[in-house]
Amino acid sequence: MSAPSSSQPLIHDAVAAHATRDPDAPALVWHDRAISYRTLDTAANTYAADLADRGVGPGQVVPILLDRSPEMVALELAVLKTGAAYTNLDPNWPAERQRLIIDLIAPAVIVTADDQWDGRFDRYQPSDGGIDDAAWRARAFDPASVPPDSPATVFFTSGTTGVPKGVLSPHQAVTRLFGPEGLDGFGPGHATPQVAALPWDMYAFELWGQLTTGGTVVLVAESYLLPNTLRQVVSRHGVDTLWITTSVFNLFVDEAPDCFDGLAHVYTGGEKASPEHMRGFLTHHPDLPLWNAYGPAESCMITTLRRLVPADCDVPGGVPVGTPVRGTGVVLLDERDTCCEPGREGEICIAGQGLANGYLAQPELTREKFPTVDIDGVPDRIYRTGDVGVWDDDGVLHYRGRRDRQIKISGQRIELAEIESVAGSLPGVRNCIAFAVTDSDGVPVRLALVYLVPRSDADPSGPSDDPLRVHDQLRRLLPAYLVPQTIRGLTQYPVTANGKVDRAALHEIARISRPATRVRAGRTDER
Amino acid sequence: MSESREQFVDSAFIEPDGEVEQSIARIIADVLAVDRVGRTDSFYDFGGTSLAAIKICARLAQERGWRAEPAWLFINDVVADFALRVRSESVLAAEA
Repeated sequence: MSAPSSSQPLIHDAVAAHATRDPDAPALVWHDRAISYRTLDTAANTYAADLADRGVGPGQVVPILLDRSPEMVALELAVLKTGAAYTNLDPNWPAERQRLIIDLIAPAVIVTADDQWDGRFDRYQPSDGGIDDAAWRARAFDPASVPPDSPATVFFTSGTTGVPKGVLSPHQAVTRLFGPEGLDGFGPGHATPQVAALPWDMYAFELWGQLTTGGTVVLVAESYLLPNTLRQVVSRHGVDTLWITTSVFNLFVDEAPDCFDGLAHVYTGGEKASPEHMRGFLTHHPDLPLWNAYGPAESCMITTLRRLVPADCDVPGGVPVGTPVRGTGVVLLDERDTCCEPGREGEICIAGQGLANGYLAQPELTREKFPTVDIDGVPDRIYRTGDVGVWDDDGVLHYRGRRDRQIKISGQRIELAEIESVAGSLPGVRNCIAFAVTDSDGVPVRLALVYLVPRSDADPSGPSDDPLRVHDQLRRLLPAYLVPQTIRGLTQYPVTANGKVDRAALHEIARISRPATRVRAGRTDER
Repeated sequence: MSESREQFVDSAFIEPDGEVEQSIARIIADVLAVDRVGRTDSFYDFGGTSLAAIKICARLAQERGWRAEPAWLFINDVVADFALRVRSESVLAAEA
């Protein structure tokens, strides 16, 4: 393993350099309108000066609670220019979860357009005039001087204890993948749609991949990409480079394989690849490069990558995940932290410039997951993924599964323990088990929760054993992707002959049963 | 292989009304693998997920040429409501 140590640029410096070099080039497209690098960078300077006036500076984290928009991108750049890190909080998250995260951050300033904001923290509300107004005001700003390993952004992901984990990632973790020797499909003349969920690391991939290299980002107003939206952004805005989550990729291959026409680079990942869908794509588009990506947010965006060939779809054990990307190293460690030779399974451990600074406000967890270990006698900081992998004789990594109970549905990382921790604290839930309902191929498709209702003698009032009520409470505490679609209250768990909980029986209960979710008013969902 | 609607809901089956409701009910039934879906049934009654919503909207566009967004289905999760939303949005789009 090797992790080149060449210095990577700061995100906002790279964007500003393109604004100087080619100010009229399109940086963003929003509702069919192009926004130039000059407008974006000038607006970002104005916002940065405004934020600095309010005390924003290096070492801080600034939550941004806005819908996808050009102003939002300019504000992210503005936060970076002040030397602080931004974090995008999804406006669709339950208020309770937003509060939890904001408390964790304890920010000096929150960026939000919401007039109703409760006001515990200072609020910065961008003017209604949007990015044009900010560019017109044109305040000058000298970016703070920070090193490339200083925090740039925080991604929030599911945590086992019921508290979301904030992955604090530095500038270099983002910029390491792009630039002259970086990934294909980024730079002047290239365009990518931005549709990934705002708090996710692949948001950074779609956005900063193009903006730090001089390319164009087409901001998609909808929360989900559909085949027709893809066709439109390709034909109208010259989109040629696409990131698409595995499950959505599979769906597009099934429903509308021609919707990839006109693209030149397709990156997919986030879940275990389906050989059948990969094969379907390669048959339909033999000349269109398809890349299978692997990597947790803790090693920003992508850790390993593989340009797929048809033979990859026949590899026993699954489609290979490839070789480490630039600035990134991978080792497989056994129980005694020694490196595994090819053919022997080990925990996938990642080193290099992609590594996060750590988890926000969780120093103990950071020490545990990001230890420094001796690799071939040399100490190196790594991230322990909890994923199991194996090298083949050609130095290609193959993914084998998880060591724990983390699962993925539609690319979303889900800690079942987080759901159990939150559900278990609700009144009317004595004990609970969260699990994934799988389809006929064993792929997790939705979440289920079974719980034990209070014993009637212990709780004579007993209305809280209602699964609908449990569902309703969970919706107030967890983002939609963590709320089980099927919830069942039981007086006891089904058990196997030797007295263990019968997992197969639980699965059956969840597979065909009345979902507890007949929920109407104001329901929103996000990934 | 699809499951029987009655394994999921207690309410009586009400036939979808008109072309839009019928297409939507049929596509939801296909995607969520149930034998039939009525006009007062909810997408959530049959375990609808965000991925299923994407698939339903993709098929509506592919088969009927109608535009629908997955987010509409999360709010207008009952077949008749979703059909109304699809119709009214297409009227708005035509006027724009």
